[in-house]
Amino acid sequence: MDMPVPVLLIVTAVLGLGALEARSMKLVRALVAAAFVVFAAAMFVAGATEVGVGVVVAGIIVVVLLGWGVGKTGGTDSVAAFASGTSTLTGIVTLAAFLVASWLALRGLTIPAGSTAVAHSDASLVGLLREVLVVVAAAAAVWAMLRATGRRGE
Amino acid sequence: MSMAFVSAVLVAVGLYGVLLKRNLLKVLIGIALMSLGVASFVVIAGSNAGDVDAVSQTVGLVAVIGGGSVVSLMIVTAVRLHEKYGTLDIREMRRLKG
Repeated sequence: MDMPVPVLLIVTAVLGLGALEARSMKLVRALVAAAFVVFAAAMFVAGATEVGVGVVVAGIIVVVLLGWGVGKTGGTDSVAAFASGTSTLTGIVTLAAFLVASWLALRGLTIPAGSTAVAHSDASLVGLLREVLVVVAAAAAVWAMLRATGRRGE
Repeated sequence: MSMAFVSAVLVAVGLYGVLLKRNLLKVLIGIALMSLGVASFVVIAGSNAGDVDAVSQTVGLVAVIGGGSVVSLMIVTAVRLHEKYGTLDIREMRRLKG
């Protein structure tokens, strides 16, 4: 895979982090749009044209809806960035542990450079990884919604 | 730098938004970033010398479109919650339950 791809993905992560930290919601929307554009460019460079087109379509929808939401809810983020107390520290430690654990788990699943063919066992590993990541993403979404609506204690 | 590590960084940035941000729209942005990170890893896992496997592309496409759909629906839900509670602070929403 070409060297610009990881650079573009890192730029995407930096733009996303900037969107999470910006106070102006219009700037947040612009940074999210830029992150989608850079990520789509990374996919096109990597040779994943279908994914690149999908990112462009999904990005347009998300950015337009985000602009509508920002217009309805106000132009600035008045909510404090961090919660006080040990929850923030716990969250940061959790993030660091997640990063290390995911890197250790995922690095063995990529195809070594120079391989001539993709074995069926690799394909099944990709399928298994997909299912695990879908479950994790769904659980994160449900948890976020429950945290938002305050029904976690029920 | 490992490509898997780059994808993990992208997912971790999204997870940071989900875990530590209190603005509901920023939580949703975090979920969108996580879906992009998952899609990038699926593409990376199926690529070999610049040639990306068709199955990986399909799975990555499903991840991106699914994530975008979920986030789009949740943005609408967030706006409705803002109309009801007058805030996007998830802790305030929890306090105002019922």
